[in-house]
Amino acid sequence: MPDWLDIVVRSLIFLVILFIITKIVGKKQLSQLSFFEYVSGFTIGSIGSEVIMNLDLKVMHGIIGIVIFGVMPFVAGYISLKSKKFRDVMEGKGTVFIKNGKVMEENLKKEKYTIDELMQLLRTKDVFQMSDVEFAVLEANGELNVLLKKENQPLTAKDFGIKVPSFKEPQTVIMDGEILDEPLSTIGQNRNWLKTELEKLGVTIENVFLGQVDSFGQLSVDLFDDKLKVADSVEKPLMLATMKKCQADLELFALATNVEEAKQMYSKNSKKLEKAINKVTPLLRE
Amino acid sequence: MTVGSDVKQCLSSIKNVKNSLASVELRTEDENAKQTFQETISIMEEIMDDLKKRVGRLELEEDQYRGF
Repeated sequence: MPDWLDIVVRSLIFLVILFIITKIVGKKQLSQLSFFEYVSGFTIGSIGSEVIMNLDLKVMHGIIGIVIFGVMPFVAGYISLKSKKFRDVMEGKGTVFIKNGKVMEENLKKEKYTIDELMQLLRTKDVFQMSDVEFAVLEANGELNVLLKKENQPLTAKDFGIKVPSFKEPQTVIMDGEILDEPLSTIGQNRNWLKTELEKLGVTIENVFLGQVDSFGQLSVDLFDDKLKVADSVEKPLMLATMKKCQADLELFALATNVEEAKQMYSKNSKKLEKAINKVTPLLRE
Repeated sequence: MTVGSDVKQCLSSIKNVKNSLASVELRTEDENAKQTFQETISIMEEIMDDLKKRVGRLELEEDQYRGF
């Protein structure tokens, strides 16, 4: 066998083996979360390349090496699942760098980080001012995670005390003009329903690149032909507007009528409707 | 236009909203949202009942605009 052919064969063999090993070890290897995975990652890589290029080495020896480095993190991961102590040793623990807004100089020294490096890590988290930080920890994988002081955190609906509707994940029901039946049945609908919804939007199925249904059963589509305009759904805003109009009408009736009994009935219902509107507004607002 | 027809218009608008709410409620998966929609629908129904009674009275008074 000529040398070049040998290299081709070896390359293909190791490609397959590396593929299988990464499949077995799983996603954790790819993210290189711990020291162990990090080391085995580049060891596997260099064994592979060495054996492919150096024709004096035996393929079998390379495979043994790769399998060992592939299996060890797997075994270590399994033991880590069972034992917290083992986990702390193997995967390391995070080090607190900033606590109560104060830098822990001792810990910084222990991890051999200078204040410049700490500032750099903070800046990658979009923090330029040390005093904005309440708590920061250097994770075992070398990443710094930062908890900002409450006043520097983004406002949420909870801070405002606003009630927001909970959402389920949207389901993708059309891809490349093909109907996907499984997600469609997850939301309890069928092809006929989808066809009616598409008709409402005035598009044909062949023209739909992507179609998704939100948790309110609203279909939104992206078309192949981007010049075509799809009508936005006005159903919910229209509903809200009609409710508001009715409420205003009822108030008007209450003012206009001279019959005391009717006046009371109108204003009572107007108040009722107002309450209902307030309750349902978060659900109907787009 | 008379008061009677205004009230009738309002009544049919509310009916319309009630039906739309019911259709959205059917399509909604979230339990909390479903419940809110149901509560709103029942409020709509109460208002509709009251308005229907009032329309009946108004029709008696404005006999020439009967028919609902």
